[in-house]
Amino acid sequence: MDADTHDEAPLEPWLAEAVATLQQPVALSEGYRIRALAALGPPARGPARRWRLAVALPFAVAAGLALLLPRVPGPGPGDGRSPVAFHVSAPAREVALVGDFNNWDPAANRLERQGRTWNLTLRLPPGRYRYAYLVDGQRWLPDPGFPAAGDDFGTPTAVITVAH
Amino acid sequence: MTPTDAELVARARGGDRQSYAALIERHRASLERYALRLLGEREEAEEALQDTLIRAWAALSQCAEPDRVRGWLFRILVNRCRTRLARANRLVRGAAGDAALASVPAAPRDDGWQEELTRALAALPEEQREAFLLKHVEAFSYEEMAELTGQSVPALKMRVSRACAALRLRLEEVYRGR
Repeated sequence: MDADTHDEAPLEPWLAEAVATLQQPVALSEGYRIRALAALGPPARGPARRWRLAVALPFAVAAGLALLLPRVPGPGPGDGRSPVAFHVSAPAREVALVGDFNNWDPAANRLERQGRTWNLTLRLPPGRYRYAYLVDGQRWLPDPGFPAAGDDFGTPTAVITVAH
Repeated sequence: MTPTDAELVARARGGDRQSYAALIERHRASLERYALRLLGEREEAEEALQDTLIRAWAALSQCAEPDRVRGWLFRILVNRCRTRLARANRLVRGAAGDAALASVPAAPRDDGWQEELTRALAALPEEQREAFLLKHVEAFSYEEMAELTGQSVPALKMRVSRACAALRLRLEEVYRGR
């Protein structure tokens, strides 16, 4: 791969240690990825857009929105997944559920409106998931009934654990 | 079977956001590491990364070698980081480097190695820090670095050499004393 093979000589011990230290993973918020993925327009030569979002998102926590907690029943039969019911009560035109389980894709899981309440049930394998609601494609709404993600910097998310 | 980078790029070009997210996830660790080590501030690194992801998505059709998409993503990130460094330098002329990078979150203090390493890296001129990280931490070849940075191979070798010399002055003794 590297034509300059003389540069591939073993590193001096202090340098090898420095490189190993610098190669350690760093801990950044997932917020930038959420914001980036939510702000994507259509690819330059891609097909029609699959979902609609503003290019610039304010990321303000919506005020005055009453939330109900997601319910986590026991495992369902067969596939080891458990149904998780998400509810949010909010004046909105559309509400999407975004999280680790759907690559934070706002097009993946939309809630259905029943009066003022928006509902969705997903079957999730056991695990720990960060998630948030995206209201009208603009407002990020965490779930205050569940613990906030510990490494959340600016974009509100909640954490839910689906037990085995 | 796990899709290749080229397959993920092809799907993403067709508008498949999940493939794009998977592609980013595959290379996230090194992109994040580079941005934070170079810029030194979490917020700056995250802004540069966010810009990179948005720009890369919009420009996927211009990725000429999808099987080498990591390098292509780095080329965008390198430019975004340079832009942010230039802006930071305009805001805080001369003082941005060491002060900013001193805030890089380090591992729990052990014998001072991590702290001294952070300071030594921060003290490098930006172009040397960039070259050092790309070569030794991200393991790009000089030819790849030349494509990423727009610099000549000899210039990059000089920068890496000078960076190593400067780091040696600060770190070799600390390393021996551990």
